[in-house]
Amino acid sequence: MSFSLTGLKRLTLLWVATALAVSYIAQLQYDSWRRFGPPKIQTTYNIFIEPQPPNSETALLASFGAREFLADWYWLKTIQYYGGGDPYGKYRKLAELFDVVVTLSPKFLAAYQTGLIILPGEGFVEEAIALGKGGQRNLPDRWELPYYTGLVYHIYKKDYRAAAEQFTQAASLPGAPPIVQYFSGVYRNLANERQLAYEIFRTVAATSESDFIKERAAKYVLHLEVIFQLEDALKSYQARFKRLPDSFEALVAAGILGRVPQSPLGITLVLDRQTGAILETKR
Amino acid sequence: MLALLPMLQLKNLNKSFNEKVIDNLTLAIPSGQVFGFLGPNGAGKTTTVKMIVGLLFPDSGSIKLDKLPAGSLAAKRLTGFMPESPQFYSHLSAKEVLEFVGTIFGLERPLLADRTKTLLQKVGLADSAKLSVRQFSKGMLQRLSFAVALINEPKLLVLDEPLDGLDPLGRLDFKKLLLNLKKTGVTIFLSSHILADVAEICDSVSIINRGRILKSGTPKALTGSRFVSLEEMFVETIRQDG
Amino acid sequence: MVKVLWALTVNTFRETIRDKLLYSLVGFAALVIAASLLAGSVSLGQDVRVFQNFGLTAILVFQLVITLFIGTQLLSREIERKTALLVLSKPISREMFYLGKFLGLALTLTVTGVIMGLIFLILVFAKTGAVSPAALFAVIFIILEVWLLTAVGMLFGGMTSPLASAVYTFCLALIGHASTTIWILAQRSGSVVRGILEFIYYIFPNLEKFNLRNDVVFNLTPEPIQIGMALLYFTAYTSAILLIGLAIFRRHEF
Repeated sequence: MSFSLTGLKRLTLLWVATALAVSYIAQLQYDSWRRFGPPKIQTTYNIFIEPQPPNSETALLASFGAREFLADWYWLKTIQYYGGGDPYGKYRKLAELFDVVVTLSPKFLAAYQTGLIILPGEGFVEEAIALGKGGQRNLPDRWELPYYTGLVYHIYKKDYRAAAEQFTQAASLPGAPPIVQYFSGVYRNLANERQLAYEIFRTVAATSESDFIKERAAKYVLHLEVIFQLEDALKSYQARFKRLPDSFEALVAAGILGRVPQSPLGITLVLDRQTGAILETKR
Repeated sequence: MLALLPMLQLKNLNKSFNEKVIDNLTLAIPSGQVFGFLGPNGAGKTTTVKMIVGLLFPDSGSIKLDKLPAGSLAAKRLTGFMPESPQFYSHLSAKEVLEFVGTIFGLERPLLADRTKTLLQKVGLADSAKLSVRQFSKGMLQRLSFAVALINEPKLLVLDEPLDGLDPLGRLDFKKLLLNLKKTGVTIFLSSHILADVAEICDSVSIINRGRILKSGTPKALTGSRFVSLEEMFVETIRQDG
Repeated sequence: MVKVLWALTVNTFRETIRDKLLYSLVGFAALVIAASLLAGSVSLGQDVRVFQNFGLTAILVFQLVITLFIGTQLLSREIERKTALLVLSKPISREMFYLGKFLGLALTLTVTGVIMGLIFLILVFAKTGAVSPAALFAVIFIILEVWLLTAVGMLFGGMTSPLASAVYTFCLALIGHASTTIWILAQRSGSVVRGILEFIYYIFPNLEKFNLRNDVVFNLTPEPIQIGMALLYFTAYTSAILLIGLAIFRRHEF
């Protein structure tokens, strides 16, 4: 028995239709598993959607001259990874991805800036600082990098001295906005480096082209002068009475000060009776 | 009788690939003759032809074309070659093929244009001049190949199975063309296994088998009284060679 | 002689430019270059950078594909289809034939490179409002690079099968672009390994000399001395490869 041509055609059509239907159903099932159902992989992280960036030095050695292209490739991966959302919200690979990007493209300013902004928020504080410092080595003339790094020190590590150093560095670079120098003074003050902060604010008040910054810096100058005045008064009191006073009012009562000076910034100054330090608190 | 000067001289030619294909071959083809080079498949005909036109290099021996070493540029300028199963660049038309080859020969444009037109007419391809060779039949390719072989008005024409693919009318026209060319003094080296046609047009023939010349002479002399036709003589000669 | 060389060059050019594969490659390249614009749109403000990198890489890749698919078959196709008999039985030296084939494909690569390069540069201009000299140099140097690789492809094509010669040429292209890596590894190695790696570094084509793609995003144009040295290297190396290929081809029998 032999098949007629028509019979063969019908069989072929039937086979094709069946194959398409099966693949459609399989695709639907697959989508429902992947997209709409809970992750089926019994691990903490879904290793099938998490990017697996190579070691950054390996990536560089294996780039075959396409460094910038690969940097952009991993840059897009990073954006998609962070922007697409990690189902467990941990973004384990984020720091590694940024590291690969900047290793491949050491002068990729936007990568450093973006990394410095988003990494600390996801728990990669040290990595962000390392990224910032690496950026400063590769782009020594960009004020943004020490500026952003300084912010990381301030916000996430409360290390005002380190922040101050970064801001001072940023302020010295071409193109830095005048306010950066102002901030370096603020951080010096926060780090209790008041004399240094005072000199910085005096310079900013004298030289800044921004009226706003001039005004703010001048207020900081006055604020610090108030603190210095109080410190001198405390020393005089201690020399006379061999002990620290209970409050600033005692200095007035002892005739050392005419009145208790107020900070023009609205910051309440409090005496630490144990150490004699003058603490700043907001109203 | 005056000795005719050899146009083509092959002396003690040897050639091996994995085994010996040409074994101490010697031939002298006088100028102005049509010479038939006969042999069964694999006898070494095409190998010999390719050595004459410089596509293969003999292991030893020499080939001289009008005293010029075969394969030299000067020798090639005198030669027209028609290979077995000719192939052309498929992106070209018949006219473009001839113009391309003519440029290689250094023909100036007006002369080349004129000669192209004439040759295409001569081989019966005038109407197909602008047609792409991709659309050519085997017979048309043979005709075009013949036109290419004549573009430089050669002194020596080397033809490898030229009648292959031609219909009986085409073969008749082709033989007429060859005889006309002979009248103009062109030496023709014709390698073929269609013996009837060879017997008609060749002044002398040689039979080759396994790279060696078995017999040489005029078709009439080789046939003699013993054989009815050149074909019969050929078959018997090959059979005797084992 | 120049006329004959030109006839061979144009013939090879016409032969390759009519290849359907070529049209699809160039068309696809144009699509990829344009699609790079899309990649740029999800790059968080780095669209110009991403488009330039992706676009230039696409041009290189497609030029390389043309070289690998067509360049490596130039000679073997002639031999296989016996069209070589048509030419080499005529009064033309093997040198002329070989050079004509090379120049023909070089012309094809130049035309395709210019087409893709123009599309790219026009899109760069549309995006940035400025002509990018760095990008222009990068495209020119890509064309030079594939000329060199064509010579390599023809060398291998005269010795081995088209597939094998495509593979070897591709490997050489990778090695050529890994020259910086080879040098770094050499400096970190012991004397014997260092010697071997440095030998590889100098012997294999250093394609990084033609790699200006990484500088385009920073708008860095090459210095005249850099251009001069690259051209000198290109001329010397390509002619050396052509001569070696020719020496092999000279003794080829058909």
